[in-house]
Amino acid sequence: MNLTTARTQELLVKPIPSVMTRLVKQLRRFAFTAAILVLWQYVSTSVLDQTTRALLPAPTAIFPAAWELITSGDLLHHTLDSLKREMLAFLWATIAIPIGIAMSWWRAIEEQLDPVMELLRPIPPLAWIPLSILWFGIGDTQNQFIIFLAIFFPILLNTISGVKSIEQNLIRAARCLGANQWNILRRVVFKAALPYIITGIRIGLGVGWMALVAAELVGASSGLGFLINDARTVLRTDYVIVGMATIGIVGLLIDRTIRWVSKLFLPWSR
Amino acid sequence: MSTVHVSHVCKVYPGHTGKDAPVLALDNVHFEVKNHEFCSLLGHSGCGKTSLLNILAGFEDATRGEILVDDKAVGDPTWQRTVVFQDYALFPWMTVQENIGFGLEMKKVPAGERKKIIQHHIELVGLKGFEDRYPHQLSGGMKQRVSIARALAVDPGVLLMDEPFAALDAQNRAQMQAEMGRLLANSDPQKRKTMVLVTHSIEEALILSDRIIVLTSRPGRVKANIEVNLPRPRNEESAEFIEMKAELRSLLQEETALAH
Repeated sequence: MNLTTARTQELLVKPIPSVMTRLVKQLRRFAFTAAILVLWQYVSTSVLDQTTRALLPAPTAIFPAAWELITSGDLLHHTLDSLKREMLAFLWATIAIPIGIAMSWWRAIEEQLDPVMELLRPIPPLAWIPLSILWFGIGDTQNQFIIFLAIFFPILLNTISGVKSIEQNLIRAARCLGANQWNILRRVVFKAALPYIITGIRIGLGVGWMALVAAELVGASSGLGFLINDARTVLRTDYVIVGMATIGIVGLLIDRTIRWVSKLFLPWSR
Repeated sequence: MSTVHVSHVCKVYPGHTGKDAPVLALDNVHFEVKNHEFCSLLGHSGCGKTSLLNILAGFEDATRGEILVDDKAVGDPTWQRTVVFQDYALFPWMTVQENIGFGLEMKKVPAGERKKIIQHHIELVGLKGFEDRYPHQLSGGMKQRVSIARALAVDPGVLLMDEPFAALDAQNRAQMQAEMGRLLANSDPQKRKTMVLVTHSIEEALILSDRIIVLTSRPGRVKANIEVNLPRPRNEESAEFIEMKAELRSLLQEETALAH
């Protein structure tokens, strides 16, 4: 280590905050969250009476319910069913990537596909639920169809804007280095659009997850959406809330996973 | 290693329908670059020199006239005419060595040989130790070194450079010009690549070129075709260098005066 690096090291040393200060700092972030939980607990146990309490069970009643659902395996099995649908629909929806690239690369394809896409895009995926139940019946296929629609368009639109924002000179450089059309599309266009495509996937999976739960509410016999709707019919609001919390947590985890994966696979984009 | 024959090239940009008139960018540009020669296209911005380079590379077509490389009219872009861009145009998802190897991969050079060629060019441009860096981890000067190495690695007949040092700061630019000048001075004149450089810098043109084509402003026409017979590496303090610099400056100044 030479003098300069030693000096750099020296300057980088900061006084280490005490364990107590760090703990307080961490806990301070959750002050408002805690206040809400306390208020919720208070309303549920002291404001509501015996009969109305069932509409808003206290946080202390949620944890036992969660434990029940976890130990019985019900929660896991419904979560996995939902995740499986989301993932399968996602795999189908990746067809949006080549379609998007083709649309932004070949004028004629864009000309033909654009009107169709523009007409279909504003229809919310949920509006397809009635028709899709008639087409596919109740179950996986119908659910996946709804999620597919929800994931497809964000990926498509982001792929298109990714390809359209490629620096012209990158393609020129590839051409003068001897790349043919296929190599330009695969090695340059796709790669350059990849950060956009991954953003599309992130948005798509988020929208898809919301659509999935909605689809399961009406058109499934398993999954988290089914779980909360089923619990409602027997007024198990504690199960409903556990189901809702799980939907939120899994949604968050999906988003975080994509972010982590994108950092792993896109070391060049800061 | 090729001769370039720019033959009566005209270029008209159509202009947007109804909005603005068509623009005549190049008017009857005619000159020749000999084998192994380093030729600069010198002119003010907007004189069409970059258009000419784009036609030469095959990115654009000439409206009239043609460019012959080794007596064959240029068509689509090929690795026989590689380009160094002002904004480097490095592939951000590839490391330094992957960028330099891209053209070799496209040429289907076997992996073992590819590695050797990459290593040779990394050493040539002084980037040893940076093989696995990504472009965003490099300074502007280093990026341009990668870009030059990438363009040279495929062993093109003609190397085209579009204001390669214009985006660098003054100090880096001077260093790159001097280094390139030394590289040219140390290379065997019979093995040098034919090079065409687009620039607006008189010094850059004089440090590097065997021939300087001065273009007029809007439309671009050949104003002067000057051979530079000074010994390499060029001595910027020498009387001849200073004299030529003054000559070129007055030529360009005439164009500035006309443009206003």
